[in-house]
Amino acid sequence: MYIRATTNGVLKGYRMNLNKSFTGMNSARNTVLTQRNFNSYAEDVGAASRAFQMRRSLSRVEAQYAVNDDCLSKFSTAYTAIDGLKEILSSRTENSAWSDVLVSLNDPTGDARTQLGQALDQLADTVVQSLNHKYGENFIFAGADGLNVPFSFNSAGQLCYRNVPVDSTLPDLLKDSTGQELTLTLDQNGKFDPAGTALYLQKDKVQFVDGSEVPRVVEANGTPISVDANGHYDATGNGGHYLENNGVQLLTKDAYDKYPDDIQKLAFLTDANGTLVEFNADGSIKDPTDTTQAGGYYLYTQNTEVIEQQPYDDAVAGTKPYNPEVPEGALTDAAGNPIYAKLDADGNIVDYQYTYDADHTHYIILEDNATLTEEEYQNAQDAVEKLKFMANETNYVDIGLGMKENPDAVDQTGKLIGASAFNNALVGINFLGYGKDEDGDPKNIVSLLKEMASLCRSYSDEEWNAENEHYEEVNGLAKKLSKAIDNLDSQYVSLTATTQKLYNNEELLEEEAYNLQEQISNVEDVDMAEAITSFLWANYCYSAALKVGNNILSQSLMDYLN
Amino acid sequence: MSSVGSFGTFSTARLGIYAAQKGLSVTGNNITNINTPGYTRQRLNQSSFKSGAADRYQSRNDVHVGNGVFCDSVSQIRDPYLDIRYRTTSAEVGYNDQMLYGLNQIADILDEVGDGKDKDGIIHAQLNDIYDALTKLGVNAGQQEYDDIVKQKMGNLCDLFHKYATQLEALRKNTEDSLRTDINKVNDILTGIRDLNEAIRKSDIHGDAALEMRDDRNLLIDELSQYMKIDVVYSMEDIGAGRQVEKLTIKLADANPSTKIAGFDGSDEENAKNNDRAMLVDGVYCTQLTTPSANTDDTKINPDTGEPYKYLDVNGEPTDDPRKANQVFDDLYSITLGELRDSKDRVWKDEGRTTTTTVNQIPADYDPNKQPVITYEDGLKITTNTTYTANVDGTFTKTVVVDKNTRDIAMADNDIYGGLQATRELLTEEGEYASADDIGIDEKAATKRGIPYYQKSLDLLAQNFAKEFNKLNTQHIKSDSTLKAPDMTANPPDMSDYYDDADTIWVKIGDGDPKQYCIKDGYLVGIHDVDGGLCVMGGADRQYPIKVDDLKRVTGQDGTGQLELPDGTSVNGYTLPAAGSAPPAGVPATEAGMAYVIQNHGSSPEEFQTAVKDAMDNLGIKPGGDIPVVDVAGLFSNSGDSNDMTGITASNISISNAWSSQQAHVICRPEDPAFEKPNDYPEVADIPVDQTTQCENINHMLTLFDKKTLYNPQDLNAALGEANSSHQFEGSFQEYLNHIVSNLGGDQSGTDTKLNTYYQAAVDIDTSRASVSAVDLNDEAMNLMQYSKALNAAYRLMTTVDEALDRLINNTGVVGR
Repeated sequence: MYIRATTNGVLKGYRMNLNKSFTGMNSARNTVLTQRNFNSYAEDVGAASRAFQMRRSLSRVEAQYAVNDDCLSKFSTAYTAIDGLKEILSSRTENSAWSDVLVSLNDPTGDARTQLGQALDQLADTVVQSLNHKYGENFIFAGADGLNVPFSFNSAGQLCYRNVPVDSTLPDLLKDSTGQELTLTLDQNGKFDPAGTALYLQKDKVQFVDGSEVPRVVEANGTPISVDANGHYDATGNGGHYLENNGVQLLTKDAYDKYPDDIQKLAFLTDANGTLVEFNADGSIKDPTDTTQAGGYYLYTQNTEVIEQQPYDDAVAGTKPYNPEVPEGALTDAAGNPIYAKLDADGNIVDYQYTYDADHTHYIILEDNATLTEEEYQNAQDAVEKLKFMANETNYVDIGLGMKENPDAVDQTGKLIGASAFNNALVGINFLGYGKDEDGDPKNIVSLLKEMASLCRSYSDEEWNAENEHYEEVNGLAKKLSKAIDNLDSQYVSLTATTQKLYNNEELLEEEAYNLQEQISNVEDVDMAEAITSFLWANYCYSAALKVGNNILSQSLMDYLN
Repeated sequence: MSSVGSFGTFSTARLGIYAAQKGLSVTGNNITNINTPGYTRQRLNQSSFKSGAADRYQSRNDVHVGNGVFCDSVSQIRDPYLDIRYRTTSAEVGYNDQMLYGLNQIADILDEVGDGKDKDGIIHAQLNDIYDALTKLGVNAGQQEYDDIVKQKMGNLCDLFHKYATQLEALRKNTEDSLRTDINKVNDILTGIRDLNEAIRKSDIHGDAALEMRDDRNLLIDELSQYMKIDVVYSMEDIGAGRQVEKLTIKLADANPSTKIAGFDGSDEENAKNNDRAMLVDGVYCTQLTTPSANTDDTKINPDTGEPYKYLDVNGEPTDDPRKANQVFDDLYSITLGELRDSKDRVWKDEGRTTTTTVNQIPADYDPNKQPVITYEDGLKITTNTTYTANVDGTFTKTVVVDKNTRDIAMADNDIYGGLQATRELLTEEGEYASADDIGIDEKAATKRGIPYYQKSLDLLAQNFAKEFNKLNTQHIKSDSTLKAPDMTANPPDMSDYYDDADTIWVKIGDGDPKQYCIKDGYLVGIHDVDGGLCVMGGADRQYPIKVDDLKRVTGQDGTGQLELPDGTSVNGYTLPAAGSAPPAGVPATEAGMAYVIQNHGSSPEEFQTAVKDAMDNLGIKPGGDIPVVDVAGLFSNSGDSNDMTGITASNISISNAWSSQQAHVICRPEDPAFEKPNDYPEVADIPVDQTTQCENINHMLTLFDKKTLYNPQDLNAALGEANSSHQFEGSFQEYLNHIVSNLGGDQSGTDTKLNTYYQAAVDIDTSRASVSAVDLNDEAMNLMQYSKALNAAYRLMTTVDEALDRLINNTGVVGR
């Protein structure tokens, strides 16, 4: 069977092919106009998915850049603030803190001491104001509490960081022999009361006075020498008194002879009759009836005191304290009965009781503010914990370090891996210092300045030299101030390094953004030369197809019939 | 010498003229109809006229000559095989064309390539904006204006979800309307074919070939083939007196025969298979596609059939005629073929065809009790009644009476293949969200994606987004409602404020009588027991009630569900006190009867005692006093005027009422007192100081954007139907969005390729068809020349014979005049 090419068949085929050619040209034109390789997922699913993925990454990078920029501005401001602070504190220029400290230490007359004290005070306030700087709406050095002022003074005049005194320290409590904190139950007047409130004791404000302490007495062969009330030797041993050993010494006769006569009898031990008591070289009393003892020594007793025998013997026996008077400040009950403590070898209280005995011999002397309630101790603990917490506080933000969470992490802040984010928190107390050192002096710069200022103002009338204890105090504080400023320097260096890191990161993010934009362009954007060439070719093909259409309906036999 | 008669040749000439004129007429018809769509070229069939084949007294010397030409008929030149091929391909073209059209419309909504301000997309860009806003909030935590910016961005995202959901829903409705239009169009086509069949049959009976009507009919059949796969069969119909006319039958061709159909008009497998070959047109009868509203009330019985009515009409009245029923779509957009009816609405029947044969014996498997046998074939119900009657000679007369009846047939999911099926799939296919029932109907349901798939995918994305953020932002807000502490002096205690009729359970403590408690928001909020028994109360911080899920529920005697709590039962780590036991130490005696407050995080009895005392102090609860109630709210809810966080979809996701009214805010740090941490929140050490600019929780939210979340179809709101597949996509929000539209892009691309392929094939076949049946001017010009010459020759013959006879008549015998 032969194939018939009918008119309509040819036209149908031509129509379809012309449409195909037109569609191709239209598509090529769209590519040139949109400059895109694809305009829908259907055209290229893989490329479209990749493009959106890269756009997502670019958006992230832009967000991270904004955060980095924000952090950089904040850290730059912080850097400027700390830089200014260093200038105030440690430069050698006039009116700097260090200059004032030096002047105050070298002001023997005290004329300028008061003003210098005020200057130090003001400098301390300036330091506080420097660290209360804001960046935008947030306080820079407030760590993760940026909406609240970081540094302030409480009603007691203490410098506080976020309402916690910066000089907070954990009281060193008195412990018992088992190592547990000791509590005493006192009434509201500070008297011992078994039904009273249990209070802790600060170790450095508690002293013990040993009631069993007895004065040194003059002995012979280890036995106290009995004397009468006038200090004369009583050979019977019933003199009822002893001689306190305040530096007695055995002298030879020759030495004895050197003393003036009127002194001799008074300065040396005699009996009631005025007879010199002779001693042997070994310190024993020579027995007059024993000629074998050489004797030849006399006891020089100038400046000795006569003490009563009985209290001494009682004290040595451990039945009563030597001094019947309760020492001032010793702990008693409301009736005035003292409390006697038993101490172990390390000086820790084993227990305590009302009765004095051989073990329980120590009075407990409580200085002012020696006691702490449980609440006060807890508060002190809390304050120290808070300071420690704040000093290590973190507030992470994403600046493109790959912020990620790890379900197995034991990071205190949760699952976030610390190394994958940037800690944006600047904590003021890390710069100024906090807590107290082993001497009980503050580590905080402002506290040190304030204390030095107070000392200068309070003792402006005193001789200002090394013999003056307050001068020594100021001198000591000055050394500690120097150390605190060193810490500030160290933090400053760290801040500088972090700021530089932010600068570098900013450049990295810029680079990353650029690379992503380039990749997006490679995926989405068409090569214009290729696109235009394709369009021109498609246009040419379409034009050719149209030209073919002119001849599509060729002549037939019909045209030749007559 | 033959005798032809003097004027016989005139007849021959006349017949020749007629034939030539007819030929010219046919050629002219072809030429003038060259541009008529569907026109098949015609040709004149001629045969030679010869009389007297064998005369009794024929002479051997006689020569018989024909007597001219007869025009037998005019016929069409058409290749039916090409028609079959064309129509098969046309169904594929129709399916892919409709499918591509639908997918393109979905892409117009969801495809974001090149859209947006910086070509970052729409929802993609909005998610990026939200990320950006959250980072800014992180750096500026605690500042209300940045919280407002985040709220604004989130609100925009909700609007975008709404917009997409609304557009998809509008698309679904439009597609539904389009399906309705297509069904009406198909019905018109079927009616048209039937009417043409009727007209052609009449013409056939009267001897007219009705070629033009056949062309019209072919056009309609070609159009029908785009909507569904059909099988066209030509057969001869006996009209009596030995005459037969052509009959056209159109059946539904095998589409996707399924062996798993259940419950379709007889509910046996063979019946279901035969739905694939249901009759659409049978001569002068045709069916109509319907979508009747089903009758679910079995009490409405049709007295004629004794069976419940199948459908309901627009007034809710029962009917068995699918055409009269209310035309509504069900969930599967099922189509029912009505009975075959003619133009006068008479139902097709073929009854009482009896055949009798004589057999020697009755077959052993013949069971008179099983007669008649009902089978289904080609969509017809065939009733065969076979009887045997004994004959005198010992043989049997077998009488078989066959009745065939048409019936309305509910189409199975894949019985129709073509444009209609494509539209149905766009409306029904859910992809991974297909339920087990769906897969039972169509085993490939899990891999086909229509509008519902994209709607549900968007819903799952919105749900997961809201869920993740709500988990990190669930917070307590003060509610306007309060509970009254019961008055202990009343007997029995006043419990009216505690009752919530929809959720009450009975709790039996030890041997005590069951007490009624109410459940509020899943927490057990109890009453006091004057005997000092269990009493749980809702505290201001919601930390005290027992969650009902934690208690084991057993069915009680009255079926209301009693909770057996024997003495010493441990609930959330706390051992319940026995009924009537003394209050815990430290709890004032006067309040003991009021509150045994159970912490829901597992506490020791000592902690419990402290908690009780603190709770009483904090809440200031006295008999008759108010117990403050708190609500929980997240950032998102399912309605802008509520805080309900359940059932969130793309069409209802909203900023919660609490957030929009500033009662709630973005939780920046986990130590925010309002924050109700989820159980799996990472452990955070106690924070002893204020951290007003801590942004730890913001960091958690930021990591959500890159976190691999599981998108499980079974997690979608159960009210939408339990998905069978637990195929999970694991990825971030934007990756999932990418996944959805990538699927769409892939489907579009694949469908486009198939369409191009099938379309090209259809065009080729159509060209081949045209080469057989279309008019060619060259051919017709040749015919013109041929018939024109033949006409001229016939004229010439006429004039020649005329001249010859004229001479014979007028010029013979005149000699000598």
